[in-house]
Amino acid sequence: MIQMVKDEQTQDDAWIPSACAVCFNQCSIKVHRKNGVIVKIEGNPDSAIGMGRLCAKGMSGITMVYDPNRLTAPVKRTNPKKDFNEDPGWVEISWEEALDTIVDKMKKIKDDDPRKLVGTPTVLGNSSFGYWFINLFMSGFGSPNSFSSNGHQCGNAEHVLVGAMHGATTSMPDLEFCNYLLVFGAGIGGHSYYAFTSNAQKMADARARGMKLVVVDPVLNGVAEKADEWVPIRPGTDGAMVMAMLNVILNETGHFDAGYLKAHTNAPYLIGSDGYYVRDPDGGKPLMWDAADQTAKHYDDPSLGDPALEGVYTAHGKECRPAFVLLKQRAAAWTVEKAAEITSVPADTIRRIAIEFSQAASIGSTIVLEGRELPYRPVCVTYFKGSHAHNHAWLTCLGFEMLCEVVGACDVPGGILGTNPVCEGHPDTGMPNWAPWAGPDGLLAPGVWNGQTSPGLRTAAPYPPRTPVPPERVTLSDLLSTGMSGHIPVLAMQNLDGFKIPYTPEMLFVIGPNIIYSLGNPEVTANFMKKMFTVASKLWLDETTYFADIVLPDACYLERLDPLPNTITHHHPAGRGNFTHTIRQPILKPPGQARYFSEVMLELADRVGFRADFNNLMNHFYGLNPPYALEGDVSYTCEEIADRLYKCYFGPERGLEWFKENGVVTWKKKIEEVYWKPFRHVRAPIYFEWFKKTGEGIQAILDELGVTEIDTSDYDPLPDWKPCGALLAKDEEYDLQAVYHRVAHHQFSYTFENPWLDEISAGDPYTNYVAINSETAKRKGIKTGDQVWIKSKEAGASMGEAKVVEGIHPEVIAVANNGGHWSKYTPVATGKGTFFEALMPMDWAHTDPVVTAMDADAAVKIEKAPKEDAKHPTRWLPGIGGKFRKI
Amino acid sequence: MDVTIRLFGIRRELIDRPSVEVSLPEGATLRNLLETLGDRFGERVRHQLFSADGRHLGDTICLAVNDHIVAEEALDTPLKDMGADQPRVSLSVVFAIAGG
Repeated sequence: MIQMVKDEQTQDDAWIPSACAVCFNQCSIKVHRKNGVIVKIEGNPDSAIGMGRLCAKGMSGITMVYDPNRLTAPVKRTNPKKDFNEDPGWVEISWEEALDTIVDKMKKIKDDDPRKLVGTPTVLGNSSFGYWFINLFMSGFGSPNSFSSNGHQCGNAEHVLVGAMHGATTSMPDLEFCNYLLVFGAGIGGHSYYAFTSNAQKMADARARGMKLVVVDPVLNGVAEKADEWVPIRPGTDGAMVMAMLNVILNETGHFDAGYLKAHTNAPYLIGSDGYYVRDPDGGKPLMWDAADQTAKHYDDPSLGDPALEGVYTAHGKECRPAFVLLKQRAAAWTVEKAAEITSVPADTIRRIAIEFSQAASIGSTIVLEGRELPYRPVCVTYFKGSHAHNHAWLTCLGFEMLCEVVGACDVPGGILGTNPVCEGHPDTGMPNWAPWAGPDGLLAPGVWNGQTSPGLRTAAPYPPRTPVPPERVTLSDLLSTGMSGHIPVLAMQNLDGFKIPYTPEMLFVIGPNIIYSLGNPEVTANFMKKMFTVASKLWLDETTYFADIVLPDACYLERLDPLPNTITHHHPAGRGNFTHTIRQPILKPPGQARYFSEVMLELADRVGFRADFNNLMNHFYGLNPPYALEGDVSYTCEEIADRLYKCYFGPERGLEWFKENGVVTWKKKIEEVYWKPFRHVRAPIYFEWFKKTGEGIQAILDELGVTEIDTSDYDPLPDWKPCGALLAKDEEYDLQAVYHRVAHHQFSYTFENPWLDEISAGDPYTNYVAINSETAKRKGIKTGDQVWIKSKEAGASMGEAKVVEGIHPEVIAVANNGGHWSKYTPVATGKGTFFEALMPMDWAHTDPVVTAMDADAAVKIEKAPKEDAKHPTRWLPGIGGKFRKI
Repeated sequence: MDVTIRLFGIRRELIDRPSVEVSLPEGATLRNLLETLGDRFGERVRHQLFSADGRHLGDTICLAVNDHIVAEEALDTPLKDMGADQPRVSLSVVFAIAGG
């Protein structure tokens, strides 16, 4: 138990710069500590990351420090039975006992086969230490089996596309100049999304300037309610609308940017009848057709005059067409009427939005900024989980990207921007620096990917392509070589023999996340956890700990050191302004025996005996060269590592102490860093030719293995639309689609334990309720305040309180964020809201293997709950097909 | 030229030993060194060391010569031009991934 006591040793009154971590955005903050007590948190106006703004989540972080329900000592279970409502029987143990047990198991695994160790960190610790340390720790130990805990919450499909098309991990609209923003299932500027507080301000400024905002979403959410137009759409059908819009632009109005497509994409690359590039027999480079002299030439031939976008040609004896022709042909199958039937969006609306969008692009116009004349394309499509948390996400997201691509609105003023794909480094040091480079066939390869720094790593970057090989990783990232991680290990562990993975994992580290919520279906995840000895590092004994063996008390974000809490690109704002790098520093000591898990990892590396590997990988990850490189197996502390990192990047005078004092280093972005496209000779793909080969390679391996559950037909070079699992499962009985949406005052599941946010939720008409359209509710005899069971056709059931609203698609019910907790150790959260994940099926049939996305919706029916169910202990049931298991 | 390559990280995925000795002709480059390893240890190692087209560095591979991190652009630089008669090469395998 934590007691709110004044630290008698501390008599101060200070505002201390640091970084928030209540959500993944890590906005810069200033924390007011008075006589050893945190009394206030505000945004830091010196930083571009948040611009001095702070949301309710950030202000409420104080309660995390003084939460009497925090775990403050290591515990081990005494009850060997693991189930959702089975009390583990925790007993406190010493750190010595906990670490002795862990080290003993790790040593045995390392001697046997280090790949038997599996680890997953939380995205909320997505900082240099908080998130990436566990990846480096795992690799240093010798295991490739670290995976993201984000599961259905994360932007997998978007990240892969943005990497390949913009050289970054995330993208944002250029809100300084955009005049027409089309949002598909994203919370930008309203209730979530990257650089949340910065973009909230930028969105407000853009709306005041006159930017038109059109939101396509089944729910009238925090962005849609502020838009010019809300377009309610049937969930999982956004891709059909996009294909029809592409058809209007490419085949009806012809209002596309041919000049951009010829110069900056592979649209002119010639494609043979086999779907592959037609290459020069001498050197193998892809060919284009030069309309100027009617010959085939390399894509980088300096004599190229006018690359053809249309036509049929013969090159080196092969009949071929420019890739652009294939895109037009693919789109041609999608009339607005066909899309209207699928999406429920009227055909006229789809056509009108397509025309508005392409006209607003101002194709051919330029703008002069800081003395440079640049293309001006003030339109953007922003998309995220609402639209791509479905099977076939790859095909859908490729369509979103094509909308911007065909009008040339990519990485130029007004268009979609990768989040800082180019950085020439701090003016004093030139560090850290990165930029897209011309990979194989002249296509864009990101200079930085997922937080790594130059000249370090690009692990799992979407380009250059990787060759799929028979899997030896539980993540299957060696087989499913185009995707990310997500929930794949959970599925792979169900069939290790089938995949011929030559070992069986024995131990799991869960560093922060509540994976019973975040990964997807809780029962499938629980079965995954039960297979391994699980060590969790936690602030609270949440639902995931019901399946853990040892739980270690972690430090919260106000009690720990994280250099570069935003890594070098993640959650920074895009567009003009400043580069900013910050610090997260401990404002107070952790309570009781709590320890930051990064420090624990360093100790484990020493005790197990792989510190030299850990140090070596940190050098590569951060780009640390002498004199700042970590040497041999020296036992550096977190402080020493942070000091070297800061000095390496920002000069010897800006070490850890400088950052503790000043909090922020910042410098102005150059125009050619922000709007880099005209300055760099790399092409974005509009035709993902290598995906065809990758899919064929994966299928050949699956055939060899005899694995039949994975469908490789989506390894398609072009966008398309296919129905997700919920759409296929819907029938007369299960006639609704359940989706989850986000509110601005919650992030994932753990904020439900925050008493201030709980107070906001209590007064908010959405957070703790199941939203249902008024007409649908009337038809089903449901009224606001009714207790209802939502029963999933392909998964379990969950209970909630109905809220009848107008702002929701009539075929949809919506649950806000990730409530419905039942852990007896999180009393603020328990019993509030609805547990959405119980409704989600989780298998290969609901998984897009291309980008490792999953269906985050479900075919459901809704029924009034009997009165006696109101006191149900968990308020949800695992099961399938209407048969539920009591827990 | 005799080169000692020290291996770090997920060695099990590449060459499961702490170090490897390789003899290379004078003027050999890092690319030559990696090709030699691919020839000696087989196709799966080659897949790991290089991108699918065989030209670029594999995405989990990190190299350092004489304790200095080496970028992709240095693949075709002769080892002897990297600052020592007998270069010390470290080859690390790291797999770090985020995202759902």
